Amino acid sequence: MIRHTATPRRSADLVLAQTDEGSLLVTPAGRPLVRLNDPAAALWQVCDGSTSVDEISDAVAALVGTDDVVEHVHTALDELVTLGALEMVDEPSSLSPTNSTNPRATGDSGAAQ
Amino acid sequence: MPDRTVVVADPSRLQARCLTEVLGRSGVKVDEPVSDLAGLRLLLDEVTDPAPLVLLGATFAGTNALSDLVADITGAGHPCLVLLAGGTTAPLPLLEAGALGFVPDDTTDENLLLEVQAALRGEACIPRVTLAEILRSLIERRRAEDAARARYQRLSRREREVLGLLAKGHPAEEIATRLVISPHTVRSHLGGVLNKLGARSQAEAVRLVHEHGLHDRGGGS
Repeated sequence: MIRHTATPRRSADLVLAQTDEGSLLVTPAGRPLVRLNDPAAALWQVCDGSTSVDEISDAVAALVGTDDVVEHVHTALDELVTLGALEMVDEPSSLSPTNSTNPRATGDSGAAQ
Repeated sequence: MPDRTVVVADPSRLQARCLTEVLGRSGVKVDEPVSDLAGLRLLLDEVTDPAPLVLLGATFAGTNALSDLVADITGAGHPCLVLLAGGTTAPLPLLEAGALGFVPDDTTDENLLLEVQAALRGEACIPRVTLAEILRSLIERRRAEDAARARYQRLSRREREVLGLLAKGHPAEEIATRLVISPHTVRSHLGGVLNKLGARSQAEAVRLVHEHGLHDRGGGS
């Protein structure tokens, strides 16, 4: 069960590659981990370790214009965690401000192929 | 011009011509490309039925002007697909102006055709990268709203009254008369308002009120 205040963070060593068939999460060894559709790939990209599940869900709900989508967002995040593509950080305040996986610090280039 | 043809509009004549040819070769009914704003507005004004699609280059204008242009196009009933130049245009305001979707301007001909065909079916097309950018913008906007509301909660009842009247366009002297206090007291309250809201000027405080809907529920002023 996903905690609403948890802040999902992309696994730092995965890369989102764009292929003819869509987005693919690739391990450092170049092995494909999972193929993602565009919404799932976008979700994975916004998981920067400082944005909560609630914030992400609210943004998606605002975009599609209905709260019905929140359940799907939770399911998608849950699946990405199960796959090892995301990790959940329960306490946002526990994040180090110098955390190198913060996309603002890394220019977000790692995830965006 | 014959009605019911796709309109391609891009300030680059070459780009507009290429796009038109790509679509035309694939059987999409497309009109002569347009490369100037006046020509685009004139063309759209002449159409009796809405065009099935306007493919619009995002380099036509700055973000605000482009949003207004998209709003004009979609407001007149023309679905609009925006050709985004990588990272130069914020997509969220365009989406809110009614854009059906986006295509990266460096996309392949095949992908462009697929996106145009999807748009002609009325399907929104938002590339993955653009979708992530839109979500980030929505998250940032929500954070800014929450922060502004939290700061607004710190205002006293009187400060909220003063701010509410200021936001309605009343000058300090009039606010003083309405609230039966001295202009000096109004200015003192305004100082408190700016301090607590973190605004650098009265204009910025008023902008925060309108941007984030900072009002007291049931507070009559």
